[in-house]
Amino acid sequence: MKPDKIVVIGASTGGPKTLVDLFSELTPDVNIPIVVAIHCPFNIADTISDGIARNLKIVSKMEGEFIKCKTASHKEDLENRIIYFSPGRKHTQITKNIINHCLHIDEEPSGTLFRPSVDILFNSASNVFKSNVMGIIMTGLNTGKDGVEGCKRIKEKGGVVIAQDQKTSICFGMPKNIIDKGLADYILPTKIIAKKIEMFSKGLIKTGGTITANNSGSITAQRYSMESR
Amino acid sequence: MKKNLIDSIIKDIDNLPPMPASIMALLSLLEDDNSSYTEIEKIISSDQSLTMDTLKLCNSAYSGLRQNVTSIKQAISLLGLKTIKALALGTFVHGLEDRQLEGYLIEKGKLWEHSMSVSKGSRLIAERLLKGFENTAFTAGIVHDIGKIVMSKYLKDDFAEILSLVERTYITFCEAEKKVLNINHAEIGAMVSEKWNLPPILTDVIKNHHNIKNSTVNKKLVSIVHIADGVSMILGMTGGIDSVNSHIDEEAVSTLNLSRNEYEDLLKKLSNLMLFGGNA
Repeated sequence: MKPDKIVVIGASTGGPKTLVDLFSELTPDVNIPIVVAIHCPFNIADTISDGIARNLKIVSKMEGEFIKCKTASHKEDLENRIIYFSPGRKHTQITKNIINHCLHIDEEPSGTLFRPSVDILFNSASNVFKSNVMGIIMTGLNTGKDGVEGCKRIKEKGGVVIAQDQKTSICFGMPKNIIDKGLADYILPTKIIAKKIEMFSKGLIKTGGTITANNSGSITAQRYSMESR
Repeated sequence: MKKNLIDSIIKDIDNLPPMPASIMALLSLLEDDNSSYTEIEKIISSDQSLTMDTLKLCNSAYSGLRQNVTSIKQAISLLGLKTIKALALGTFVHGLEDRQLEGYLIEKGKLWEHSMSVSKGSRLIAERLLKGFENTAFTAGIVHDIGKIVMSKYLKDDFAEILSLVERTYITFCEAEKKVLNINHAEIGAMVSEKWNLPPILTDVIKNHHNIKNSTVNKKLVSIVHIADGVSMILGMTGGIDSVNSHIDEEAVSTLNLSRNEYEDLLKKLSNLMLFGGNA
């Protein structure tokens, strides 16, 4: 079935270990595509996607369903139940062809501080999936503020933004940027982010711009405390 | 450097526990392939606390073992003499590193986890590129960050300045330590190493693992630990703020005469080892 919603994730310093922890918590109930852009000085995509694929296989074996994990390829159709890792030194974008949503992998645009760029991934996901996007910013240094523009776009289109909390972030700079700008709907530890992905997949998280982030972050805090009861 | 800062650091180093005689004896046998099974077993078994700690470490560091290790003899037969020798040395450092380091925002146990990932990574590289030094590489990985246990408390007052410097100028955390405090954890580590009379080859790694070109004893070994450390930090195996802006110095790659393809392959193997235990 053609995906009707998507989770996009951006991470930087400490991202690989954090993503292993996050995806180890996922269950086969997650029936949407997940696309990850991770800043890494070397190409980690194959290693991490192969490794996580093995881990997830163990987790979900009992259920008889598998979540696949792979390095994203150019022009491949976007499918549910697959975690795609952006290849190193290239941007990954979500696009549409006549029939399906698909992935576009390219070195362009050049001139971004990071490749893959979180902003470019998030913007493209919002353009295609409108409000049906969950953007997650995880551990990373506050360098270049990658992710801020992308999260703004997600919020403008009515999607949901999650920032990893300080305690479980190896480096809190990137999530803090999102929180400081009032863009985070939720500030959560890694394990709970996995639960939120599952809830989003099941349609249990409302989207469509019913909550507007402000600069003080007060709504964020209110929403967090209500949902964590 | 402020005189009171260095005085205080020296005092803290003096207050660290001395290296036990049994560990010193093992250190002298580090790369001695002729050291016998009974010789090593005798040294470890003569120290009850070392025996207990070594067994505990064997069982936690190698949690994939099918059976619980209950004697040094059994540990040697399961893991091999060389690994046991290096792990026994690790027990002493483990006691010191297994603590929360507030200055680095490192939770209890995480520095040790990082040290183990660097140890295993360093040994993997040495097996390919520096044969005969596999054990030294493993041990160097265990002790490379020992300076952090002293440095941690001195970061608190200047933490914001150090982090801001890293974020504004893209330098490493270690470089920022040096700029703000005029000393870094690697230099402090070398002072600790000298207090414990560690072999010069280990002191060289501790002092220069962020500054390869200054190595005076074995630049290849320093490069090996630098790469393993860099990969571990980038992946997030340390859990501390010192991971920020970690990078791998090209000097390490050229010192080891690695082609681009060999280097990429090595990074993949290291990442797989550190994140997933190397299971393919």
